[in-house]
This record gives sequence, structure tokens and C-alpha cells, in this order.
Amino acid sequence: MFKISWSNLKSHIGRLIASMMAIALGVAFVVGIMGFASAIKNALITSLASQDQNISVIVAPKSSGNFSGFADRRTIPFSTLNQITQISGVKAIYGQIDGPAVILDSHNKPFGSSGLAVSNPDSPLFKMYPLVTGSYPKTNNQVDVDQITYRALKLSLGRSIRFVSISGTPRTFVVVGEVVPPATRAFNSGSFALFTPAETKKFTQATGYTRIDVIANPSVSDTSLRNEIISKIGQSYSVLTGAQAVSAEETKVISATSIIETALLIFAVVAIFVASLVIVNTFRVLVAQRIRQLALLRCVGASKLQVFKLLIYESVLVGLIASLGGIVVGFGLSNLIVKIITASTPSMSSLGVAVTLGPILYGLLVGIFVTVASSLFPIYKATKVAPVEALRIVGEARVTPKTSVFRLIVMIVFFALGLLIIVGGLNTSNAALIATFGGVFIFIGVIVSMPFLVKPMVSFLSFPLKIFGTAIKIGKQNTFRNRNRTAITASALTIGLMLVSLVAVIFYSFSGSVTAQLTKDVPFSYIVSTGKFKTVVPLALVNEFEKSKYFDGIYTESDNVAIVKAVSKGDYTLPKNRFNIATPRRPINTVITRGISTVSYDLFSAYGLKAQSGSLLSYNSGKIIISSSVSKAMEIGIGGVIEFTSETGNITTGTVGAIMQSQNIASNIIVPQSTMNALYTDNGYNYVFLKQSKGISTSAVVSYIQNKSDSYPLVTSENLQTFISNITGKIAVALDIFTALLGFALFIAFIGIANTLSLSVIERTQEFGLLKALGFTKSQIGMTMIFEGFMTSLMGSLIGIILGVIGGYGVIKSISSASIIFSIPWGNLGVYLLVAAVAGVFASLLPARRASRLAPTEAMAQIG
Amino acid sequence: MTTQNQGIAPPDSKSEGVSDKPIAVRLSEATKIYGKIGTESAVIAIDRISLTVNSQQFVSIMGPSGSGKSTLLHCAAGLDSLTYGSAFIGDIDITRLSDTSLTKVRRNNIGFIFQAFNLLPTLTAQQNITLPIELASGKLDRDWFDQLVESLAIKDRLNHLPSELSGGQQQRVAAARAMITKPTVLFADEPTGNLDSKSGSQLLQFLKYSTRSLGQTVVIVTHDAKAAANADVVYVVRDGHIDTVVKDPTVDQLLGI
Ligand SMILES: Nc1ncnc2c1ncn2[C@@H]1O[C@H](COP(=O)(O)OP(=O)(O)OP(=O)(O)O)[C@@H](O)[C@H]1O
Ligand SMILES: [Mg+2]
Repeated sequence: MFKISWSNLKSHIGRLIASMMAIALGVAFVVGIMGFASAIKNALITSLASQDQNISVIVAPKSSGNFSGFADRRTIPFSTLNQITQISGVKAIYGQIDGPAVILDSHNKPFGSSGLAVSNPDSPLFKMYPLVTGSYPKTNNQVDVDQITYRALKLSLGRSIRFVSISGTPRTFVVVGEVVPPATRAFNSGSFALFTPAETKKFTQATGYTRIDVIANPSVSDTSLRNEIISKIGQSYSVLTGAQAVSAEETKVISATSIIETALLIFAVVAIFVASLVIVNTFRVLVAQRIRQLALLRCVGASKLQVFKLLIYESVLVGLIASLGGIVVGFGLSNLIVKIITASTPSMSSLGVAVTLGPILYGLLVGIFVTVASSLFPIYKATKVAPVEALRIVGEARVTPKTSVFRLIVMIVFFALGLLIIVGGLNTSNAALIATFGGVFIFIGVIVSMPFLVKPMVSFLSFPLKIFGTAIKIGKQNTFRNRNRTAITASALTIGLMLVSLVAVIFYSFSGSVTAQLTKDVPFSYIVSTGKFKTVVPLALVNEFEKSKYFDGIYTESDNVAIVKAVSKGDYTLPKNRFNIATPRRPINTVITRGISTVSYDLFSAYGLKAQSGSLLSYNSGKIIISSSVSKAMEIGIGGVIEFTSETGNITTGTVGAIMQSQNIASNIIVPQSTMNALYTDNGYNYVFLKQSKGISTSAVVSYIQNKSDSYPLVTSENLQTFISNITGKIAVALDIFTALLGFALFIAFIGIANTLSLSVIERTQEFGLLKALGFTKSQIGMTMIFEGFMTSLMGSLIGIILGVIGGYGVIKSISSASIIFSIPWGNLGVYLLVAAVAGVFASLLPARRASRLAPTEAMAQIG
Repeated sequence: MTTQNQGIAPPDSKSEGVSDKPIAVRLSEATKIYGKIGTESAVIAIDRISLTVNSQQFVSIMGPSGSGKSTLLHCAAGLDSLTYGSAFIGDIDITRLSDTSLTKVRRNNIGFIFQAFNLLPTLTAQQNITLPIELASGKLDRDWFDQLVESLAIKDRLNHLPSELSGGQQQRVAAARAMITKPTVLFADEPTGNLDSKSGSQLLQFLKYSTRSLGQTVVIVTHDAKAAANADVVYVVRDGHIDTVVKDPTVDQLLGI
């Protein structure tokens, strides 16, 4: 049986190439992501391991747990180091101090996306930052710069270089060395610099050590030194041996990279799903084309099982070959990406994607499983072929099924279930989640119903093309003759475009709402911040603004994260409804903001904040404001008390004074200045909003701000327009990334169109011969195929876009009761449709060429 | 029902049963109705046909187009199911078998040659011939294989694909395939229909030889009186009934029908 499968496969491998490409691309995506993630993971682990190498004990602050975006910034008091030094088993000790230090380039512009100052370990026993050239800093004005920055800025030993400190003002240092940075440096664009410990402490205004590394005397074991340290400094720190620390770090790295990996794999799943639709179609066609052969096998004594096996082996082989190809491409691509990323770091050039068994097995498993699973149904149907079919069928291309009742029922069931779920979920606390679930059902319903839509949609869409005459008429008939096939091909595109348009609608509505809110009676005209550096606008500068005559209004805002926990419930009552899924009663991590002095109603409305209960202005009397989603998540109402834990380990509480309508533009908890001060001791604010005084010219204000900010290189100022366009620009970039990631799936969908069409050409060889004999020209025959590709693509994408818009509407309505205004990005959607239509034509060019090149005689001769 | 000469007997299995040879095929009241019974579209293709084929007999079925010859053959060979009545291969009632058992019968007891499209295009002639053995996971009888390809004169074409063979060669490969399992009976539906007269008579000579010297039972459907004249018995079908039975026919006799 296997032999027959193999010979079959060899004889029509050409017909399977497109499907193999589709599966291979999907597998390449998966393997590439896995390879890339493991390269990053390995790099980080290796670097961590080498950093902690020969270190006996590591003392660090205790972590508050894993909250996304929450970084523990607690430190160990400087005095603790002395306590540890007194222990007799200690041979060497290194207290690491670090903090922000952004490098300025020769044009006085900040370099990179961030900068980190780290204290140089004085003892040569600590080898975490090997020198490339030069020496370690010995005096307070000396510095070592990481290799990537060193080369990027074309530095040399002895050169002067300026750093911006936490206070926002620059200082000059002399470069005395070039060091190998930690591996993480290869994956972000932040610089890394080593200063003397005394200078690091001063420059970063650090209040303690980030960690303390200890090397033991040879006579003392790591474990016993660890125990001694614990008994000396107590239980309030995490004290681990070097080996324990490495494995703890590894666990962290693995979980961090696996989050990214999982997020990317979601896109791979979409791509693979689309590829599976291509496989379904290919096998449907292959089976239809070989129905007589299968029937003949049955006549000769093949059992149903044998026919099944014959085809399954073939599908396994297809999956195997495609996966192998995909694995090679996947490793190649991810290796290329890693090489590009690390190209600037010579010391990391050895970093590459290791070809490991994991991704290979995964790739094989996914590729073969998807291929076999998608071919299963067409194959199962093929086993039902009656032996007499071998004698009956005349032509190969059968004009098949009318609309099946079964399909109609499935469609109605999915629609009904979807609607039921959505309606049932309304007004529950999980309405959005339930509605998404219902939406998926309705989506499946639409996909199932697509064969019904083929005829009406194509007739409607092709109406204007009638002027092209007979070729279009024949093309139209061809599109109808196997509606299921046309529908499956189109639905691959529908899925991709549905997702793209859904996200486009959400993003567009989002950025439209931001723009609308910020342009409507905003009480400020300039925004001062440190842009991408996300540090603070120094207090000194803010104080100057406050004193100046140029402004008659100043608001400040700090965005910080904290872990929040409900201490008391306040007036919260559990909503009573059927589908209430229990909410977790655990601390949550959230963004909080603060304002300076009193806040007017103007600022709230500028942010689109509306009170659901309580008064927003209660904020001015020291109360905190929470969003309705926070209220639900924490099960807390007005009068409830929340406990905040900051990244630096400070704890404070606040009482809820108002609940605002849920919205995602501003923060979800707003606290007054007093609460914020108890949590963070920043020497400034993230954002300063300035309102221009009346009677003062704009140009005077602009030059004043410019002038004042000059001594703070990280500070940038924007007017409202640029502030808005920066926000919307970021949203646009996010949309582009999303679209690019889905591009894989869309590309596979177009391979699917080309695939279906070329299979149809083979099937219709005789017909094309007949048409030619009847006087059809080459271009007319080509036109019938192009029409079919164009229509399939147009139809699939149109349905996808419509579903995406409807889905986007649902999402927006469910995530925000008020502040996000639903709007349709006509421009984007139009471009999608246009691109899809053009791509549909491109996908049909090869099949069209093949069809038009068939000689009439050859076409007529091809029987059986 | 008309009788043609002294050798003719009614097509009743009981009065046929004088032969000492065992029975290879038996149809009893075989009826096949296409389409939904009782509706306008129902077609009675064969109507209560009973007949018996003895082992090592060469039987021809003739009749006008649309009379039900192919239907008769398909039902007798277990390729299609009867609406009423029963069909036996040897002593197995194939109308009562599950798909699995019927597959086994097709594999072991029946050989079939069609008018065209007999061969799998991706397999060589040899692979096509041995296919039934492979399907049954059986062991190829090498001597039998050699004997078949020798007497069918296809020995030097064994490694060619069907597309590289002439029509006559293809049909002879099909004949070898049909006989490789030494089936109880070989059915052929117009096996010479697509062949020129020389290739056609080569194949018929072989089929006749196989009944005489190899002990094969053969049932063929044909339009060609010359071909039918090779048979021991000719059944003439008209409108789904057996109209005439001719024993030891001559060409002239058959042309007259
Ligand atoms: N699948 C089918 N469905 C409906 N009617 C059928 C089917 N197959 C055959 N028939 C009808 O049954 C009758 C007998 O057909 P059959 O193929 O047995 O004739 P035949 O004697 O072999 O003719 P020919 O010499 O042309 O091959 C015909 O009237 C035919 O139209
Ligand atoms: Mg016939």
C-alpha cells in the first residue's frame, strides 16, 4: 500500500507543491519562533550563568511575585554589606549599585532608548564584565562603556563623554575602557556603563544595593556561608547560593521568554489554520480527480481500509516532506534574524539558533498532524466510493453538490448558539469574554455558510465586469460549479482579513477617540516629558515653570505601577446574574497616576473621565478614583480601602472616593499626590501639562520652554498636535506589526487561491481544449481563470472585512461604556480590499498562463 | 422465449444442473432497479433473471444496448448490489455479505476486465498485475505469473507504465491481473470493445485457452458475434430478461439474433 502511495505521490507531486508550501510556511513560522525564543533564552541563561559563575552567595531583595510590568526596585541598605563583610568565610564581596545614566552623543542628543550605570566590582575576582580594551574605572571621572555603544559612538580611550544623571543634568566623564555587556544588551538599545562604586552611588542617588555578591574562602562551602549570612542579616532578604541563584534566574528567563513565544505562536496558529484549509481543498480535488482509480482498486479487491490507508500514507508523506522543508526554512530565518540583531556585538557573534530536537519534533508533529487532520474528511469520503464508479464516471470534473441540508443545519445551529451566548452573557460581569465566545460561534457559522454566499455574491460583484463578455460568463460558471471549493479557498482569506480589520477598527477607534478627547476643550497647550526615556521631568524645571508668567495653568502627572489589594469592600455588592464567573481575589498590579495641587473638572473631561458613582472631585480631598473594571476585579466600592505596594517596597493605603466609567486611555486608578508621595520619591513628574497665558505669543512660549529645557537633555516638549500624533503614530505602528504578523497567514491564503486554480486547470484540461476548438482565444481562457481568482479573493476579503468591522464594533461596545467612539477606518479597509483583489489576480496569473497555453489537441487527448 | 436449436434448454438452473462440473456463478430471480422504486424515474435494468454458470465454462452475454448486460455482470460480480433476488459465487451468497467479506470475495474469487481504464496509471504493468496479491497480502505464485505473462505475450513490457502500452497490451495486462489470484470466475465487460480486430481476437483466444487449458471460468459481455461464438453458451438479454440461450453457438447463428 505504501508503495502505491509513494508512486502516486511521485506522479502528481506537482499538484501538491502549493499545499506543501502552505504547510511548510506554517511550520517555518512555528519553528522560527521557537528557534528565536530559544536563542534569546539560551543567550540570557548563558550570560546569567557566566555572570554568577564562581559567586558563592547572592543576596537580593525579596520579590513580591510575578506581576506583568511590575519591576521590583527595592534595594538592600548600604549597611548590610558591612555586616556581611564581618563574616570570616567571606573572601570577596561586591555590592551592586545601579541606576539610570543616559549617554549624550556628540550632538548632545540622548543615545539609545535608555542607559544603565553600574558600579564596577573592585575585586578582580568578580569577572562579570570582561574588558575588551582599556582598564576598569579607578577615579570618579572615569567610565567603561559597553562594546555596542562604544562602537556605535565611535569612541576611543581617553575621549570625554557626557552622561545625564537622575537629576536630569549632564556630567562629563573620561572613557577608559570597553567592556562586554550582559547578553540582554544585544536585544535592547540601551547603553551600559561601569563607574566606580562611589560615583555610581552619587550619580544615581541610589539608597542601597540592587544585590550583593559574595565569594567564599575555599575552606567554606557555599551552603554554610549562606546559612551564616542568613543568621547575620535575617530573613528579610533572599539569600541564595550561586547555583540556586542561577537556576532561579533561569526559571525567570524561561517564563519571560515563553510569554513572548506564546504570544507569537498565536499568529502561527492562525497561519497554520489557513494552511490547513489549503490542504482540505487539495485533498478534496485530488480525491475527486482519482475517484475512478480508487473505485478500480475497490474492484480489484481493495478494502475500504486499504483505500483509506493509501490516501492517509500519501497525506502523511506530504506532511512529512512539507514539515522538513518548513523546519529548515524556520531555523534558517530565525538564525538570520538573530545574526542581524547581534551583528553589532562582536562578542556575541557566536550566538546563533541552536538546531535542537524540540522545535524539530514540534515542527514535524504540527506539520504532519495538521496535514493528516485536514485531509481526513476528504479521504474518509473517498473510501465510500462504490466499485461501480470505476465504470460509470465519464469526465473527471463532476459538477457537484447542491446546497446540502446538513450544511444549512450546522450553519443555523452555530448562528443560534452564538446569538444565544451573546444575549445570555449581556449584563454579566464577563459580558465581553462571553460575547467573544459567541462571536467565534457566529464566525464559524458564516464560514460554514460561505458556499451559499458564493453565487449571490459573485453575481453581484461581477456585474460591472459583464462588458468583458463570454470569458467572464464562463469564469462565473466555473466559480459556481464547485461552490464548496470556492468557499473554502475564500474562507482562508476571510479569517486573515477578519482579524486584520477587527484590529484596525479597534485601533482606529481608539486613536480617533484620543484625538477627539484631547482636542475638545483641553486645559493645556504643551506637554513636557522625557519621551521614550520614561524618566521624570526634574522638579527644578517644574518649579521654574510655575514661577513663570508664560503659563496660567500647570498640571503634572506621574505614571507608576503598584500592586493593589482590597483591604475593605466599601459599598460593593456582587452583581446577581447567571453567568457570573468567579473573579480571582488576589492582588492585582495596576497603573496609578497622580496630579499636583488640586485638579479641576477640565482635566478629567480632557481625559474623557466620567463618574459612574461618587464625585471625581472627591480626589481633591485625598480620596482615590478607580475605574469600574478595577471595582469589579477587586470587588470594591466607594468607601473601600486599597493597599498599595510600590516597586521600591513602600506600602500605603487609600480610600475610594469615586468610581469612573471604565476606559482604557488613562490609568485605572488615580491617586492624589499625598498617596503617591508615600509610594515613590521621584524628583519630578512623568508629564507636565502647561497652559499658555493669555496675551503671550506662541513663539515666545515655545522659545521659553526650549530655552529652559536646554540644560536637561532628556526633556522634550510637544504641543498638543504633536502629542496627539505621537500617540496615534504609536498606535499605527502597533497595527502595522500586527498586520505584518498576520501577513504570513494572508500569504498562505493567496497560495491557496493559486493552488485551487491550478488544480482546477488540470481538471478542466478537456474543457479548455473544447473551448479552444470552439474558437476561444488564449487570452479569453486566461481571463476565465483570472476572473475566478479575482472573485474568490474579493469575496473572501469582503466577508472578512465586514465580519471584522462587526466584531470590532462588538469589542469596542463591550470594553468601554463611553469613552471610545466606534469609527470605521475606511481608508485602511479600502486598501486591504484593493491589495487582496490585486493579490488575487497575481495568484491566478500562473494557473491562467498554464490554461491558456494548453494546445487543443493535447487537451482533447488527455482522458482518464 | 424462443429456442434456436436442439442444444437449447430453458435458462433454468435446475434443468441445467445435469453437468458434472461444480457451479461457479448462480443468479436466482436477480432484479436490479435503478432509482427510487415506485417513482417515475425507476428503471428496471434486470428483471428476475436466473442462470447458472458451471466451472470452466465460457459464457457470453449479448443483447442490444441498454438491455441490462452490464448490470447483470456487475451484480453477478459483486460490484453492485441487487434490489431483489440473490447471486452466488461458488456457494457464497454475495447478496448477504458485509462490505468487508464482499471485499474478500472480490479479492479471492473474482477477476474483472473492463472495456477501458483497467490499470492504475502510476503503477508499472507488473505492479498492476500483482496488485490483487498485494492487497490480499498474499504470496505471489511466480510460476503462475510467468505462465500468464508468457501466454499473454507481455513479458517484455512488464516494467512499462500503462501509458507506454498499446490498447491491446493494456487489456492483456488487465487479463493477467484478473487471473493472477486464480479466481473462481473471470468477468469481462466488452473487453475487446476498444481494440482493433487483431488485438481483440488475441485476447479472446487467450480467454478461450484459459477455460480449456487453465481451468478458468469466464463470463464476458460482448456485442461482437464473432467474439461470442467462442463461448460454450450465449445468453441473449433483451429488456432485462434472458430472451434466448444458445449452446455451442456458431457465428452465423448469433448474427441472426
Ligand atoms: N446508474 C444508473 N442509474 C439509472 N439507470 C441506469 C444506471 N445504470 C444503468 N441504467 C439503466 O439500466 C439499463 C441497463 O443498463 P446497462 O448498462 O446494464 O445496459 P447494457 O446492456 O450494458 O448497455 P450497453 O450495451 O450500451 O453497454 C439502461 O436502461 C440504463 O439506462
Ligand atoms: Mg454495458
